[in-house]
Amino acid sequence: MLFYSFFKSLVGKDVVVELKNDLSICGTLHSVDQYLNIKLTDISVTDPEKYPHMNCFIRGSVVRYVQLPADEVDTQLLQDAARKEALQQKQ
Amino acid sequence: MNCLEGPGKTCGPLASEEELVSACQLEKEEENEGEEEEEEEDEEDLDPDLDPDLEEEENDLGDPAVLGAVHNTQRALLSSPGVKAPGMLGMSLASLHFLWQTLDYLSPIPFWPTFPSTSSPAQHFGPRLPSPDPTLFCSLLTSWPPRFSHLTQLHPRHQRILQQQQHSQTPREPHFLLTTLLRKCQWWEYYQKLEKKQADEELLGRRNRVESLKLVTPYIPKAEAYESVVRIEGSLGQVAVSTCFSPRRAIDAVPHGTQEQDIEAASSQRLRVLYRIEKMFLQLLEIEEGWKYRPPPPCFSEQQSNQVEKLFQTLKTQEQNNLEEAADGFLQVLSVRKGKALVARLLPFLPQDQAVTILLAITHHLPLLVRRDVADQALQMLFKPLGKCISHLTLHELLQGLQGLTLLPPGSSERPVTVVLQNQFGISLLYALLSHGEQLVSLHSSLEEPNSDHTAWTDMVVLIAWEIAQMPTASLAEPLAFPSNLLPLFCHHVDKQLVQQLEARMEFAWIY
Repeated sequence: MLFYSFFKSLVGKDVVVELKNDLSICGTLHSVDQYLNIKLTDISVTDPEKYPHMNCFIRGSVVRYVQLPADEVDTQLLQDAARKEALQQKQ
Repeated sequence: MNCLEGPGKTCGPLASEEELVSACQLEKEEENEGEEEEEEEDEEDLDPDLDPDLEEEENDLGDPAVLGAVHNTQRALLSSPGVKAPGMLGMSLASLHFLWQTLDYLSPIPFWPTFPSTSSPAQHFGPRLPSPDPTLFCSLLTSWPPRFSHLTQLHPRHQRILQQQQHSQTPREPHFLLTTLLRKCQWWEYYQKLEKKQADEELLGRRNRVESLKLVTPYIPKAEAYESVVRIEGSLGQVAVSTCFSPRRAIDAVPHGTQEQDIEAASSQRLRVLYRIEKMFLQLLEIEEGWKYRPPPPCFSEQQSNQVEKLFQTLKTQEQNNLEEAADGFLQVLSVRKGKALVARLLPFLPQDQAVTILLAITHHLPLLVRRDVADQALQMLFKPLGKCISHLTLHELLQGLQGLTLLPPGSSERPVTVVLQNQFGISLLYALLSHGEQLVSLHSSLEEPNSDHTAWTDMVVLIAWEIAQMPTASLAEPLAFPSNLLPLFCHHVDKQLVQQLEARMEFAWIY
């Protein structure tokens, strides 16, 4: 649930989602769910695109990376949360 | 992608599969008929071209009646070893036995109604013939084709074959399968002779022929260029490409060549350090959890003090007997970004003396830490917590810490302080230390008479001032904080000329 909470904190920010089929989609994070399915609005495809879409729903399992703005992320907080999560999972 | 466009269409291969199969069978049967005529004539002649057709003949089990006949024929013949079927089996009994075994393996459907064998319950066709007497059987074989009643219904293909056989001039052998196996035996014998010939030739020195005839598994070279995706014209997305010879590559990280032992040792060392740091982080998180709902330190509960102490000990690697190693362990932690973050967060929780220990250790090894921090530039995070510790230093401790920086190392003309001055964290820490020293001295100067510490202090300040003056302005790092009492400090101890030089170099600091 850690990254679900993490992405919830990033709703409204501009992100670039790189898929496992090498397609990159840039857009505003609209919502996320427990499977890390992502809804983006105001999307633009980083390679030249011929099909303008305003909204898109991306299944979480096809995402390879999500590129985030560096200043929006508190790395220390994320690290601590990850450590606690790892500890909990171990126990 | 194309298949999606036509939902009503079926893919090509599926539709015509049945046709292909039937076409194949037809071909085989036609070939069989052709061959039968051949082999009648050259029974003893070894025909090297036998091989490609034999497989097909053997596989043509489309005529179960024939199979049944063959099966039973073999049984009959073997049970009476004296019998030799006319003109057909010009072979030894051993070869026959081989044939029989092959036939047995094939286990044909006993369809032939002629012989009421125990294994054939299904009797489809009419006329029943008398018991399997070998002589009678032989005559039966010669009286091919069998005469069926008018009620017999045959498959059109079967019927066609029978008709063709009836019309042909040459006496036909009734057993397709037996023929096939006979030919196989012949071929096998031929092959044996051939190999022997080749072995002899090999002995004579002609090796090439031998190798060229060997069966070689085809080698498919691995594709060098890896295209993971294919873009189809006019499509929105991409299609991942993979075959059984080049499956999809999971990651692009491929080890390039072999790592040298030094690098391996270094990376394993780094891993160990990181592992240690993570363990300490867990302890630190526990401590921080305890402080969430309590006033900030130094109000400690005993448990928390123990936790902090334990963590400090881990950090200082006190379990090491060698002090040098202990210091080394601490420095290794500080060489990593995560380690710096750990120490920075731990410092507020430490009791004063332990915090001072850390501060002095950092000050003493400042040049080394600065050099290792070139990549990360993460020492800055230590500045604020260390700044709070500085105020707890005594003059003596301060001098101890700074002495290392001003001493000229053997074999070098450069003092360690020069490296420090070029680094932002280094110069900031130095200024902070000097500022504190100045505070201490000015505070106590009125109270105490000058002692050795004061003298040492003066020398130290002069030396550092001189070093700053020597350095080109461009190399001098910009400090994170510029203490207000620094210039007055220099004014006290150095001559006017030097002060002017210092002012010139530090003028950018006035913009703060």
